[in-house]
Amino acid sequence: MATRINTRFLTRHALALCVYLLLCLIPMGISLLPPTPTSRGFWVELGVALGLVGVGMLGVQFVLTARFSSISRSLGHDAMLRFHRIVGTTAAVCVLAHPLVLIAAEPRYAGFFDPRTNLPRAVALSAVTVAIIAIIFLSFWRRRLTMSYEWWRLTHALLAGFIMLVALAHIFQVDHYSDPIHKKIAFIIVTAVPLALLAHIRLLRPWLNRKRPWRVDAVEEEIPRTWSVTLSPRDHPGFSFRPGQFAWVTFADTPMVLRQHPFTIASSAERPEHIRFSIKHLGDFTGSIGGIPVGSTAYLEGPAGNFIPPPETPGVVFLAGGIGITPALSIIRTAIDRDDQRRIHLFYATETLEKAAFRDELARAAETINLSVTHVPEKPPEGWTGPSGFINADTIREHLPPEAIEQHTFMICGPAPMMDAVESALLNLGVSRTRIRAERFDMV
Amino acid sequence: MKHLRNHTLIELTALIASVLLVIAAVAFAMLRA
Repeated sequence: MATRINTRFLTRHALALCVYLLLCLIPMGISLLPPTPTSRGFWVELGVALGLVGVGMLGVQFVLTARFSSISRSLGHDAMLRFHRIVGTTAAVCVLAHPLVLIAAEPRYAGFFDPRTNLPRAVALSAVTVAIIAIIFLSFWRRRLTMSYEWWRLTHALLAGFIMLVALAHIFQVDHYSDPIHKKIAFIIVTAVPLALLAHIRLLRPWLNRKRPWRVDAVEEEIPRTWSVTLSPRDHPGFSFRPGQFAWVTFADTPMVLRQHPFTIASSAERPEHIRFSIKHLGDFTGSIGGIPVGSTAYLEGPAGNFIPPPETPGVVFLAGGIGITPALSIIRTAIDRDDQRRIHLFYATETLEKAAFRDELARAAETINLSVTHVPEKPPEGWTGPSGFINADTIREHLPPEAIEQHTFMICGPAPMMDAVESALLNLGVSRTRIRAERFDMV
Repeated sequence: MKHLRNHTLIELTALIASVLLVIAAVAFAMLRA
């Protein structure tokens, strides 16, 4: 059984990788379409090939981040972002290597950057070089530079769009591989599709979403610095979702604003008319959640993500850290509404027991459905007899029956170090990777 | 392989994809040279 699942898992991922590679190779493929121009030697062609591969990879980046529900569901949003980050860096390195290899092979190519030869070309190529360095630098050091997520997201999109446009202009200007007209048309399509996706995500989709406002029904403080916000659709049916999914939320009178953040839906999937998010003050815009007026407007985009218990699983073991409890809440609240009596075991790690939000609700839920809750406070109160410190393999082994370790689905959500430690502990316990699901929001 | 975390696996996949694409660029240059 395990072998069959692993084979299916690997086959699916290998197929996805092949599709990705083929898409990235499209610009190179167009270049090889007949008629092919005369060769300019290995090193010059290598420099050109790196540029073409880089542009192909950059183009596919727009597809990856276009919030296609199929990609989000199959890969998971955090995995997609992780992939996007690494291949994006490689793409940037390839594009930057393009002029370096060319100049090293034939120094006359340095003239492309000479404003005395061709001012617009020199300005465009210099600007795109700076843009590529900036896009990578800002992506890795945004937090250190205290740049807000909203401004980074806008800058990232503008720089990416600019790079694609200059790449197209550069291909046409050099005109070595873009002649005759059918190749030019193919290159225009290759550039237009990513730019259209960008416009769709950043402009068209929010604009269409303006007719689907939501009302803020309640803003409640659960524990200090953690707020629950309940929204209901205004004159539209809202959307259905699966427990564990998230939505992008904009708290504003219009969806055409920069501020849009992903939050896990914490409410029951059986009650889509009242969608609830629980949000912790993390020192950024989340600090303003408590001040959102009841009756104000919000916009949702979603649902998205694949942090969902598989329907066929005999039980779920949820390992949550801090505000990572929200997907577990949705799963538990949905199980109550559906009278789903499949086994759910929740390990809930918090700094102290007082910081375990929804403690009373979880205790009540344990009396209604087949749920057991194991609190793991890092600093336990005096007289505490339960597990404490960090969740590790021993904590999991001591509180789970062997059949849960052998058969159940393990879902992890919390701070990154906790997730890494728990995932390693599960693998060491012999839990198959295909039964481990994790959702990380530290990427955004 | 068994003890690779899921996010490590996705990072590994991204690195493999990157290496394959660079190899494709070299192949293109050899073909065109």
